[in-house]
Amino acid sequence: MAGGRCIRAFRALLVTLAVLGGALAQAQCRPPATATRLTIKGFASAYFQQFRTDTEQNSAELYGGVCLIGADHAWTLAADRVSVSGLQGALRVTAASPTLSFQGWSATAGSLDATSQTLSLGSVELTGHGVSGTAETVRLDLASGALELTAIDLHGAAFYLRGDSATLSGDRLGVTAPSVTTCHCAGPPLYRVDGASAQVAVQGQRIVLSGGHVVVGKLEVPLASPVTIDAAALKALTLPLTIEDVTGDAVSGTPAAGLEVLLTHLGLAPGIYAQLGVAGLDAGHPLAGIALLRGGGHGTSFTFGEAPGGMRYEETSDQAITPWFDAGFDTRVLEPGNRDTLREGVLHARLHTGVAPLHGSAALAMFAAGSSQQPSTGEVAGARLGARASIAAATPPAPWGHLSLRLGGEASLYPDQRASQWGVDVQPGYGLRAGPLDLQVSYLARFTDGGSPFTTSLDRLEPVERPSGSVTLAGALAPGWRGSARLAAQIDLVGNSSVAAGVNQLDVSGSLTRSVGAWQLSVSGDAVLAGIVTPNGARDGYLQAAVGASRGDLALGAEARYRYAPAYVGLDLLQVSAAVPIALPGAVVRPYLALDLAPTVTSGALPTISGHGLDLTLPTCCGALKLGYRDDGGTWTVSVAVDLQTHMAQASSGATCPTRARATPTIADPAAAAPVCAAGSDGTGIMTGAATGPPL
Amino acid sequence: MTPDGAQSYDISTGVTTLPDGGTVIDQDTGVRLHAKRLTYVDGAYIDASTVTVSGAFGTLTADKLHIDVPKAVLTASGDLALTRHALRLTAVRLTYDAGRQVADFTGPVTGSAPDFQASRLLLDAASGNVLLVGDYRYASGPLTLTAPEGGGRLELKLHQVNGSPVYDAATDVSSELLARFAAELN
Repeated sequence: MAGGRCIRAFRALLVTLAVLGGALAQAQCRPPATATRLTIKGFASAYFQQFRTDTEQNSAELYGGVCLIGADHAWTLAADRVSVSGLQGALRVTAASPTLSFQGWSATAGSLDATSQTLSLGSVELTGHGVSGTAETVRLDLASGALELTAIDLHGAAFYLRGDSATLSGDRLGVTAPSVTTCHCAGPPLYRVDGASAQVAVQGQRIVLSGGHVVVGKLEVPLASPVTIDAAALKALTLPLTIEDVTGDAVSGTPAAGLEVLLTHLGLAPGIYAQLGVAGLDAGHPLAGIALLRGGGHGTSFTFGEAPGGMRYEETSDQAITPWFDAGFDTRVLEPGNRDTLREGVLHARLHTGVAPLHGSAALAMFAAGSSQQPSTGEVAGARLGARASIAAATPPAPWGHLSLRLGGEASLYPDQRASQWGVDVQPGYGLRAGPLDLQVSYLARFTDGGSPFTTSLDRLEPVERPSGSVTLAGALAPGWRGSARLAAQIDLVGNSSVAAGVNQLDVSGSLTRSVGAWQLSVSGDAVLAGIVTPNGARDGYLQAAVGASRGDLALGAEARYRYAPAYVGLDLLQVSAAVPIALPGAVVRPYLALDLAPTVTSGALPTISGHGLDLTLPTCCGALKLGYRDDGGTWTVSVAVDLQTHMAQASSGATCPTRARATPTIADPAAAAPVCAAGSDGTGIMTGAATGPPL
Repeated sequence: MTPDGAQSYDISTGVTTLPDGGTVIDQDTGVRLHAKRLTYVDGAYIDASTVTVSGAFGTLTADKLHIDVPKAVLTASGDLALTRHALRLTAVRLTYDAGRQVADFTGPVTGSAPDFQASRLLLDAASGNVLLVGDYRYASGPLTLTAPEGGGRLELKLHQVNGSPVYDAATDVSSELLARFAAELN
């Protein structure tokens, strides 16, 4: 605890010093009242103690605390001695060891060589906007204010950045041939991200890098473009790996593949990535490989490869021709195991517009397809031609709520089967939002002849008469407690091949949370009553309640579930769980264990392990690496995060933080100085794939 | 002394008046003085008006001039101008110590070569070196130098470049020049 307080106090001191340093860095040189002033026409005003001219050399020399202030007051330059030559011709100003202040930046250089148009600095050390570093040269265009740098090597609270050249405007830095890392390692960083160009918001510690690839040792992996390196936290890093139990979905046709391990995003080239994995790792499912090539962009996407159940090929293109007209095509080859095999190509076009007087929209879509499906009843193949129209309208929001109505109709022809299908949807609704209350009620009626020769997984329609509704309360529900409560219901008045007639949804759920000191308390309940009201419905019924308490990484919980299923009625879960952090030398582990006491209560058997997991936090020179997995009743999750805040706190705890000025760190040897000592800030950082790019 | 016209001598006071002016030449120093009107007492003083004085220190013009002969001190005022070597200036008043060869111009003193303004200028007539004192402004090409708040000193040192006399400026005044003007600065 004392160590933690020391670290926090030290970090606070560093932040204070960084803020003070930043303020000093931005402070421009100020002339003393006793200084002599020299105006250099069209260039600057200079303040100093001594001055002399040399007519023979056509020059002048300023010395004794020289302060130059640009004619436009946009920059200042401090030096011990400044020489001005070319007094009768082209003006030239030179100085040794000058410090240039410009737009919040402070650049201390080995030399200055200026004309009336530009300031050129050599061997520059830069500080400002929360970063510091070096540049081989800095050139300031006095007319445009553009700052050009070469051979930059900068470090901030969250990153190290190197580049061949850069242009700076305010705190916006455009870098060519950038190389970025968040590592603070002795020697070469564990990884870096190289790119063709980067845009850096220096103050926000955010880098958007284009044409990038990760370099780990001699391994280079291309990344989708752009990649965002953000100064938030690596703890939001998305691991490109999933482990899950794929149970299958009858509606989408996804086969039950069992336990599946999948590398979800292996970048191959800009816009193209692979998915590799294995399914059926548990008993009861066939072992199957997953090898998919995926990509897309600009309204198109494709998937090709092998997945559980068979080969898969999909390609879609949907282009907005005008703001009100889209057109495109789809080709699909799906072989989902023992389900319906589908091969088809579709051309489609869609007209759509908003209808302001009705507070709604209208759309008309047409398609022409060639489809081949192999359901268990035999192959169906042929052309499909169809059109769909829809219109949605609503009343303006009012204190009493709003009414809505959606009408839709579609018709399809199957020339090869001499068949047709029509369908009409009518869906009125009512909604009310008032404070914490959200009420939604609707009624869906679908009338159809169900005339498609294909199955419902492709386009066959079935009658529906479905009232549904939900009411939700969310917010501060009791003094000191926040939470939500929700009731949702759905009744199918007619049955079809997908659902039986009856109450198919009647869910009641609620949760409350409260803070008590450092503890977070939670209570939740969940009741799925449709399976009780309609015993042979699609869902089993159950009642479930849970309580939890957490403090930091320590989490305790208890959960009970009473199940109403055709095969079993009774207590089927009585779980207690705990996740306890344990500090070890060089690491923190947090095991998680959940025990199900229901077998003990119901039959006197030993408790069973209903969940297990482990989180591991390892300090590395790239941040605190956090790895974890959890199996909660068959639901697998894996996680990875890099916490730069911990990384920086460790750096500032004395292990590497200098007590005196150290050599400027570089991306090749960033351990030359602790970045937090120079930059301060909140010490957090993030490095993830952007929404358009893959995670690293 | 050569009168340009009439000359009168007051035997009661010993004052000689040249109402039409005349020329006075000091055979020892080579200084030549010409005035539109001259009054003098031999061995005591010379008063002159609309005067031009030329000598080793250059050429001086002024509305009024007084020479204290025993003290060898010249004072001049009124539309006062000096031209010598690389120095051309105008001032309000001049005090010249012929014995020490130090001229003290007060002003404003304005120089056209070099380009300067000063509240006071001290000239070493022997070397030609100059010291601007107090509130001054000095310009050279694109540079314009201004004295610090409260005044300062700027040395203008005369030397030859390619055979031509030029002045170089320096705020770090040489100790020799300060010693030369010690009487005026104290």
